Amino acid sequence: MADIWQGPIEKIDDYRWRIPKSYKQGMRTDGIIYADEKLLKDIRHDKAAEQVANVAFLPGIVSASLAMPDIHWGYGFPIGGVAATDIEKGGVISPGGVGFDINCGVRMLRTNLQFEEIKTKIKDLVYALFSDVPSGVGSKGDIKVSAREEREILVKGARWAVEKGYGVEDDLTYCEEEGAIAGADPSVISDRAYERGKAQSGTLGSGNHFLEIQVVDNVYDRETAELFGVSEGQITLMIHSGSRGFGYQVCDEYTKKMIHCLSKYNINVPDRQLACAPVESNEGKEYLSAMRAAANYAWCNRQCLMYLTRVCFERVLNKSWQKMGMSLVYDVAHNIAKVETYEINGEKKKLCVHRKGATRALGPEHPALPEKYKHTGQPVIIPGDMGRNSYLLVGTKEAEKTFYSTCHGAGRLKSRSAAIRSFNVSSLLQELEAKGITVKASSRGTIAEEAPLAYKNVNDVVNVVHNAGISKKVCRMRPLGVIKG
Amino acid sequence: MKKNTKSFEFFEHTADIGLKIYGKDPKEIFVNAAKGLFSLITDLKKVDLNTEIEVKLKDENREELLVSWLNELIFQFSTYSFISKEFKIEEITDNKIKAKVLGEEINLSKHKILSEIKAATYHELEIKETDRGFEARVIFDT
Repeated sequence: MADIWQGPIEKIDDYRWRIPKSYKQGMRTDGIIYADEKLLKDIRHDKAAEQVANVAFLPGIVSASLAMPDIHWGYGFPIGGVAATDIEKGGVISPGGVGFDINCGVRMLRTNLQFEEIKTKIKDLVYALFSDVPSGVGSKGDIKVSAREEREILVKGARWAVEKGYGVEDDLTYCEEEGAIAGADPSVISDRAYERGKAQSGTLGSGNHFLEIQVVDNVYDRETAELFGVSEGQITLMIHSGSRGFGYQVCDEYTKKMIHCLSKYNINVPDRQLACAPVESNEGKEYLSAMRAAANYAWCNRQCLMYLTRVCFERVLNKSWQKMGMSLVYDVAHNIAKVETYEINGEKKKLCVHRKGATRALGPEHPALPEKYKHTGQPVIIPGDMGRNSYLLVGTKEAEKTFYSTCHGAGRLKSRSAAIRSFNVSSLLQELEAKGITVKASSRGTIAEEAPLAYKNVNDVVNVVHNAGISKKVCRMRPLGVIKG
Repeated sequence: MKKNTKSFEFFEHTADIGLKIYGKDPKEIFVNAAKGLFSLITDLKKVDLNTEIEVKLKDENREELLVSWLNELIFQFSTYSFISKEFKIEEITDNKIKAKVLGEEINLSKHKILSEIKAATYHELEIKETDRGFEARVIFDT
């Protein structure tokens, strides 16, 4: 593990810490880390803070280089990093600020089912989901698409799946960007990305991607929870997946192109993985269109996964999914770059907001919200790690200062290799079973890699964003069954 | 006689995995990097050499070529389920590589897949000459 980071961290308040721009020559602005004293200790144990400082080098960066409390060392951008650049002032877009797994994200379903009525069926549901929803490295999906349909998916996103009968209109209404972001251009996607993506539609990725059956065990905000359709004792589901090989290929190809942009546009960044280009340049525009296409692919994938999940529940519980009330609460991306409008110093500006391992958290009355959520603000879905709590939060007006961004999950503490070395998989499974959690994973390696102690405590992370006011706790879920790739 | 018996080793990186590669010359670095990569994916002892592919790549410099080489092999694995095991590099310069790669298509009854590697990154990428030959570092996103 890396040595303790020795750089300067100044306290702003109990939940915000500044890395002053004087720390490193080339920083255009400060870094601000959202954390409490306890999490800050862990943060100093890897080089994430250095990466927060590095992101501050990006041309056109507005406000500060931000980091959420689940921050950890990534490549280029830290995971949990948020950075907005001023498009008209030559602000840049960086594929490293989005990540390889473009639109890795999560969706949450509510149900009419109560824990008490189906607790004896959880094991059956887990095994059925494991067999019906393809998972694991090298797995192929059952939902086949032709070459022409592939290009449609990149533009239509989740709508493609709904039109094919794999969902309903409400599945789009309650999805970020309504399941497809405008401005995707299939023609800038390489043949190789198409090839890589084709085999995998309708499958779950491996690693920390999962499907989870949960029960709501704590409600903090009864009014908002009611509006979101969730209540204590209710069975909920989370589906966490991304753009798979398709997204990785797009990221790899564009990072490479952008490395050559650094000298072309005279951009100085301390790490090649921060390669970027002005959003308004040809390379910037191309990447943005390609990224949007990959994002749409991921939304389509999650829609397909939700469809397969609903069908599976129908099969095991012998009721239609509509009768079981299995509707979508919301779907959020946590690896993405968006063009969003903010008021900066009294002026309306179009910013390119990078969220890498961070979630959008729109406050009440925001125009991008569906009608039903205009009064409350946007549901924010925070998956915990295996064996630990997940949360449903809501966006706030105060979050405007983080460009309506918040944490995305628990954040890794131990490296994958250290996790595998220190956890004994059988005892881990026993421990989870003892807690009443059934786990099915296609590779024993992923169980140890995702062991709860390999992650920061999600409760700590969520408490920071709640106390900092950028998103508020609505309810908490605990896991009953997990299917991991 | 082997001067340095280790051809690669892993190092810690919170979210991903790092590979440190040793070799007597750049050709060996490229071979050992690929071996290190696939040893993360599966037990290579169980992989037969019944399929061959050709890899031809060009790049700006040696380090970027290394990343391109590894990402090409990852692409072949991810798209065509091809596990690379042996590498016959026919031509290598700072800007070009031509190789024949032998291996086998995934057979889940025979091969246990240990992890999914998304890509080789440019983060802290380095190839340097030492008094014992060459050393390189690559971090993979997993």
